[in-house]
Amino acid sequence: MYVKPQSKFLITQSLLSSWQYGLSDERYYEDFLKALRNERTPPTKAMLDGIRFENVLNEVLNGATIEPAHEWYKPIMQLAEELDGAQQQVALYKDVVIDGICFVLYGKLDFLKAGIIYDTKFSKTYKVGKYFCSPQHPMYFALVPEAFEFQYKISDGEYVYTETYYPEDAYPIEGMIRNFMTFLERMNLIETYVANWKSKY
Amino acid sequence: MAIVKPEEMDFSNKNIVMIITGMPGVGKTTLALSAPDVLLIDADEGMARVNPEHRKDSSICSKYEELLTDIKEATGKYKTIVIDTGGALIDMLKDWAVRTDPKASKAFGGISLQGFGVVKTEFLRLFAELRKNFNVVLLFHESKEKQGDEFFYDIVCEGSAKTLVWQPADLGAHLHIINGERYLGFTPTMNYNAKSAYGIKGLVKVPELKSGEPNDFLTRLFAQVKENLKNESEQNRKQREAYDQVMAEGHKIINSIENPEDALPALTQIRSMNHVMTSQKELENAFKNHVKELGFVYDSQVKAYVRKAAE
Repeated sequence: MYVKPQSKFLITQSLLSSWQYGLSDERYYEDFLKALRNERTPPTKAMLDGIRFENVLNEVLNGATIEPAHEWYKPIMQLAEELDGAQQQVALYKDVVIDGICFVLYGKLDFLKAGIIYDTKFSKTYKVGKYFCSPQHPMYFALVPEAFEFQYKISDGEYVYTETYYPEDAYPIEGMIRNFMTFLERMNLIETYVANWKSKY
Repeated sequence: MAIVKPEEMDFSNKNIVMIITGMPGVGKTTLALSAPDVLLIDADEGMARVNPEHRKDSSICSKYEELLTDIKEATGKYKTIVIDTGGALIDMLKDWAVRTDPKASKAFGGISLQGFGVVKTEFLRLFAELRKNFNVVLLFHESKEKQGDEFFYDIVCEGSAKTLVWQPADLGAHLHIINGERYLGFTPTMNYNAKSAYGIKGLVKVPELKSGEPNDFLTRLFAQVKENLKNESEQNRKQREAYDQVMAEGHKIINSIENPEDALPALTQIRSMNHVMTSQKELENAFKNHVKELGFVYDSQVKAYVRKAAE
């Protein structure tokens, strides 16, 4: 594959997740191609619920009060207690060179506190182990090598579940990026990626 | 409520909640009986398959109310409650919910959606209560399912409770055989779920239990957990103190920013601190938010922070 030597390309966990979904189920392959073309897709109801849940949590962490009658009172209060004092929406990026190509890893951490990265999810269909193969924790461990734990905090609106991963148990993100690039090359999609994911950083 | 300093914390009486999953016949019940002073809640007739030499007291109950009575009687007499199996416990809870809560059953029989809510709430209440007085070992049978190119060992349990049962657990391990030897897998893999904590992770070999030998594997593992907790606590305390100090100093520097010209020296000062854990990234993020709130932006031409021009 040939790319201009000075170019840097952005890699996000959501692009890699979209690729994973596209590979696991052909119904999502078109969504992956849209992500690769950097096209915006209208959010689904599940995504909107997730955004709303996160907004309520952030507001409570920033001092707003939540009424006990609120549909998410219990999980929000539980999370607010645990995440009190955490930095919210920590945007980070980092250069890595893989097979001679310079990539910029980019991620926005939901929360960061005392060595632990937290990511909140809202899912009505959560199953234990759902995030085992996710590129998110390997990517964020690369962005915050000093972190010693990553916790997915998943709520179904009633309960909060925790899935914990440690750096030593996570697959290095470089391997996944290498596989991703090999896939793009095999499918003649390198140009699409190069055209749409140039990094400004 | 008493405030306890980290150096004064005592984990010697901490109770541990552990899940053990495995295919039928792999030896889950015998292993669970190796925990300290066990009472087995035998909803699976698992004791019948245990070598008589290693049998312990057991409670055979068919209704949830009987289980609660036996647990109440066990308080102070036993250190560990083993529930064999978690799937059977959930079935018992479903039966109890349908019998005792009118909203829990559907008009034409079976448990309603609200009924599952009752089961979940009671399950969490039971475990919170059990943890106060006992270690708890919750056993689950597994089924082997094909997922793509891999096999996945999933716990046998009512679908809607499959996730919930992991919630109160400190540790979760998949008991399986590799080359004729038994291992507990504490780290999740593509093939099974697990839960590691307190330095107990990866594959832990379960030695073969020979006749005449004490069945005490989990007793020793729980003692290891407590030892690890004690050591971890001491290590963490020092690190946490240093972290808290850096964070406090960093926030003081950030809060002292009043004018755009204060910002860059403050950032330099933050970056030059001796950081602990993730303090640098946290303080840089706090700095970024603070200067944004003050209406300052970085001007790359003059290489300094300036007031944002009015739009």
